[in-house]
Amino acid sequence: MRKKRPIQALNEKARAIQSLAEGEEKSVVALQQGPPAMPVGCTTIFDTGWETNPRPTYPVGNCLSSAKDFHGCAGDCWWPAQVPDGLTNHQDFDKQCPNVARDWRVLKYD
Amino acid sequence: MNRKMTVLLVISSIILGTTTESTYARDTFYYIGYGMIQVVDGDDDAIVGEIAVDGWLRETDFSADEKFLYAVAKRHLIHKIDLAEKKVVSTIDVGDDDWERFIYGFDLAPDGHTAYVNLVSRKTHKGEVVVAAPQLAQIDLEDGRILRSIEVPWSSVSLVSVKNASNIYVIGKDIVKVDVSAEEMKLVGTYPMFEKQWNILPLWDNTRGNGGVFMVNYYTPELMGLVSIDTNSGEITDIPLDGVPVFAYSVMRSPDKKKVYAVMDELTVIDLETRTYEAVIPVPEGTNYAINVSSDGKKIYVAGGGSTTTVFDANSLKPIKVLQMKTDGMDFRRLTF
Amino acid sequence: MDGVWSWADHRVIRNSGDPLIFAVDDASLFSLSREAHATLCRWRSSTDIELDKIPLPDQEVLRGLCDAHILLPRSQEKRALPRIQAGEVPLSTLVLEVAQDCNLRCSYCYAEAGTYGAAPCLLDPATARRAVRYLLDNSGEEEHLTLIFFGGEPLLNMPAITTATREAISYGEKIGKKVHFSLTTNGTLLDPEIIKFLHANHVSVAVSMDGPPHIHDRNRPDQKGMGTYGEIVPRLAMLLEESPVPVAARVTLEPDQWPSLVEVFDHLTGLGFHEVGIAPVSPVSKDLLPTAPQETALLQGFGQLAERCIAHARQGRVMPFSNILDLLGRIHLGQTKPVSCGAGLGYMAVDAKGDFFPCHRLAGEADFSAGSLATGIDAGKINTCLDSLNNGRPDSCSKCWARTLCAGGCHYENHLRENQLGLPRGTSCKFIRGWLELGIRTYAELRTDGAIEAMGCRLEGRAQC
Repeated sequence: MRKKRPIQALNEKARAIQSLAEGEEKSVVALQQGPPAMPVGCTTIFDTGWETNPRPTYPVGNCLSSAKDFHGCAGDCWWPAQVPDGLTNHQDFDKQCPNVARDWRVLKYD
Repeated sequence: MNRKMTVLLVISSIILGTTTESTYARDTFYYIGYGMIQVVDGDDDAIVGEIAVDGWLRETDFSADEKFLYAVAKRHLIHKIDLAEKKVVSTIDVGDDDWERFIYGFDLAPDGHTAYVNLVSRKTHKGEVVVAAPQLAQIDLEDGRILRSIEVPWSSVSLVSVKNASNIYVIGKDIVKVDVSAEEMKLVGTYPMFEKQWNILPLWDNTRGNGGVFMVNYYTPELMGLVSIDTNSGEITDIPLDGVPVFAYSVMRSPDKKKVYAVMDELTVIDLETRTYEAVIPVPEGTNYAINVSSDGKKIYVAGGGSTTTVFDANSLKPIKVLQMKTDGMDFRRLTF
Repeated sequence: MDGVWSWADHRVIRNSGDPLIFAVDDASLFSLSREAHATLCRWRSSTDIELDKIPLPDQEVLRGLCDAHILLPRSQEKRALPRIQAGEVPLSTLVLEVAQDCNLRCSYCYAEAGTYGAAPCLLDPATARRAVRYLLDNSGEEEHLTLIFFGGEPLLNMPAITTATREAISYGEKIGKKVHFSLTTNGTLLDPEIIKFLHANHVSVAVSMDGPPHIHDRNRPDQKGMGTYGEIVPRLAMLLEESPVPVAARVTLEPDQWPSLVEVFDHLTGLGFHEVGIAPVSPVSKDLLPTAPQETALLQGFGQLAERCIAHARQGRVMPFSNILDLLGRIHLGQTKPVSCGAGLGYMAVDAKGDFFPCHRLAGEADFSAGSLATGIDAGKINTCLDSLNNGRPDSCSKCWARTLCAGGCHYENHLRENQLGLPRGTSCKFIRGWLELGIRTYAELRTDGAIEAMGCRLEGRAQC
């Protein structure tokens, strides 16, 4: 008999919303219960990097970490789908905004 | 009798006083950023200068006399920086007319005018891209010319020179040992990592400030561990750790060699004796790539991954200062005088 | 999860089982354990909740509510549903008033005996063909279109129907569009030839029947005032025989008939209809306006049918009550409505003269004419009409928990009540909310029972329009 959750999703919309959170929750639970399943390599190209931080510790959430990781990951093409590639076509991309964490608003992609 | 004692005491205290003064170390830190390196005084923890260096910076290495810093930019330029003048005095490109080359791993050779680099090379031939096998190369620092090279495995991403650069350890999926002491470079051994399911990101090289020990953390499905390469003996040591792994980009030993400090979103203190995680402190500024320690062990610095440097008191593990840097950063290197 | 959180609009629905919580902007539905519900009640009146300062275990429950998007970061801007303009949406459904005439004289007809207030006339086949081409040519990227034959009584004008059908098929084949046909009829004119045509072209037929003879004949007499039940039943039997598509009953009941809801449903399913949809009559005159007790009776009747729906689902059967199936489908998906219906936005009606109206009910209302086949659909006029109908409505709706499921209600109903009967805005709201809440409770019970599986994909297919 499955243990009843305090908040149970009933319709498809609710399930979709809860599964968003569950993706994070699973890592938290796993961390508290034992070693997490580690990814091989840093990230798949469709993640913004493992700094998306599913852990309950600071900095919780996405935005801050992605900004801090931007140039570290853009230059070497860790995120080829998301940011201009620093190795081949956009070697000087960092010049327009060398301080992404502070100045991200000036970032241009064209 | 009393006067003799007094004189002896006075003389010895003068001697002791002198000794204490000469062990006082002055740290200077170099924040490796984007288009710029900033200089931080390790006494006041203040930004005291900046050096314009073109490109996104990655590997760095100090010359033996510590007067120059070589910095790799955009994975193919090598800048030679005069640290006193705080400026770039020469730049070479490891690519040539034929091949574009990218540097993943850089160490200066003891001769002072060559360097060991791990290169991945690419060119276009009749509209198709051709990628050459990765090679460990010794290059001339005057013009970037390859003097000799040997093919190394794919996924090689970093290197460490060992035993006075008679050997180069190339780190990728495994650690591949290359003997470079003879005229021909020779593969002499492999330290397996991949078959042990080690997941490793060996991009931060703190060997110099780490007592000559290259140290990096690795992950397996079960745990986190530390692997260290003693650059004097060439010995590789595996230190698996007990407890739920923390996340870390880079690690550094305390000067007394009892602790290892690690950083990503948190600053972690690892006790080397018990091989456990002693403390995990969230870093208020967020994720950081690089970690360093003051030479007296009293302060811990975390920097890069964003544009701040945070100074922690190593005892209380409380942050005592945050420096706002001009650019995002990748590394934080220390010179001690 | 630091920072300050505040409540998203939601409604707590007490149930026989676990309490339910419906989050308005997402149309997401959750059930709460008793403890979680108690925690929610403790904090519901607080705004600006600082999670870190909340004592455990309350904090844990509240974090779960954050995950469910029932607590939102205070800084998060309230989501506005997109404003859809006519002209932005390609045409996908066209109602053809093939006959503005009728052989019956139903008591409640909103089309004034099918004439829509003008002289009786039939859509000529050439205009029918042009209307079909208009639909196909203005359907953008839509590959599946719907053509609805309506009236008055459409079977009075088979030539227009057959012409339109043939044109839709051949032109559709040419440009890669598939047209689905529907027809609503009073059933009195069905004959073997017509039925053959309907079957051959898979026309989905809805027959307007109001239940057992005493109800049906009172509502739907012929021109001589005679009841029509007897005429329809044998023809219905022919239509049902080997029908390749489901045949539905379309029921209209006047307020004093609402207590007979279940009887009507049972009677019509007994006649063999594959599905029954029941509509409370539109108040075309003041005497058709329901009283509060009558509305209660109607909801009770719906409630009984809903209970039966659950009982059937537990046995693995789907009860063919259109109203509840449509609603359950939308709740199942958590479908939020930016507008109450597609009238003027992908759905249009063409009258027998070739003039456009936003929907079949508004056809014939001069204020709502919106172009013609000759000049094209007047998107600007549609927007003006919809704006005038909606004037201020979003404000009054903005505080209603049912706004994402209702989105303002039927335009025609609102037009009748507010413009023609001079009633204040919102006289339908109580009923609509009662109905929607019934749907939510029913869904929750089906879900927690596991009985929802029987309905499964049937529900997902419903929530189309």
